[in-house]
Amino acid sequence: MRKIFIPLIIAGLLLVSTFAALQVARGQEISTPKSEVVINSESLDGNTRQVSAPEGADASNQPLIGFIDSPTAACVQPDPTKDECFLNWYYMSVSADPNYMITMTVALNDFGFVGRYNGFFQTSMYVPYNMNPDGYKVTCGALGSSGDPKWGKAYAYTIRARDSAGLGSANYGTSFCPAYTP
Amino acid sequence: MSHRFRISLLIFTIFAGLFLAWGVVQAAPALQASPGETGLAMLATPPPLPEQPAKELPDISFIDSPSASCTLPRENTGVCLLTWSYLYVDGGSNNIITMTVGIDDKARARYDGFFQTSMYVPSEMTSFRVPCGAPGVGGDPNWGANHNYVIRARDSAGLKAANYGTATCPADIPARNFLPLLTR
Repeated sequence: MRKIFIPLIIAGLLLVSTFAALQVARGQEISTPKSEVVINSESLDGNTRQVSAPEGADASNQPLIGFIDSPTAACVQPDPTKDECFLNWYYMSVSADPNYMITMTVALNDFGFVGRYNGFFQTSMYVPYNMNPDGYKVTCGALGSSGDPKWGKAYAYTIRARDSAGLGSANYGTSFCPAYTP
Repeated sequence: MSHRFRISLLIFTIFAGLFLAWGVVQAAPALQASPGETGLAMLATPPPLPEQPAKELPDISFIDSPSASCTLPRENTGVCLLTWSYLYVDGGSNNIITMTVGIDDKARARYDGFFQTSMYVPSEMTSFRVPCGAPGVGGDPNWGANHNYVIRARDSAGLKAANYGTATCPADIPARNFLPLLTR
């Protein structure tokens, strides 16, 4: 009888450790928010813009949040003797009418969130370049560090907006900077 | 030569001949002359195709970059600011991919388009430090250095526009601070 117990215990332990390893592996997945469903998406020349809705919500009956308008992603090196570049956008604008705009956020993928604009009983949001006149300071990087031999570093960015109906909009793009050549 | 080999050669020749004849029959309709056309005319050089109207590509516009200015915000620093009133380019129905600014053969700014058919860059986003230069260094004794610039734009159809210009700066050199020589 005792002889049976030992293999059973070993088998049980092996089973438990296998499940634990599986859980760890699943936890390491890059998670996309499961509660969001993309309902409109466009891509052009490495840039993508999307509108998403909460999973299960009937987005067809709701007025959609618009695409975020974020033209002219600029990376400027004011002083060529310094490894300092400044990222900015001409403006960022989005409308959720008749829903309220809750937030619009800017994230540089290398750093995380760098800006958050909070709505206040407003159905649209407009953020001009001069609300952040200096832009976001980043390093220009060495020549070719983005993979393009003529330019310095490239910064991937994500601009997100969310309205009071839970609809979201996001822009994914990349801005290339001039190189710092000491 | 053996008898069998001769028969095989004969059969092969017959089959080859049959295939050749079949090929000619298949090709015959293509060579058929139209009524009123002689055989010689059929072999003559065909008349040139009628001229097709050239496909009109929507042109990228010239880049608008008015008032290239070089100003000296603070004297005795030797630092001038090169700016424009604005930069603007229109890609028509195509999207603008990039607009870039280069000063004295060095890339200084890149503006990336994002689903836009035109690009407007305001003055505040085009401010570049350049050395003012000593008086006369650019050739005019009343002024400082000349800086060459190139502004380029490219659209999604691969069309390009470029502006080449020169901005002359006020003369200014950094002030030298003469520290007193202290002896121990």
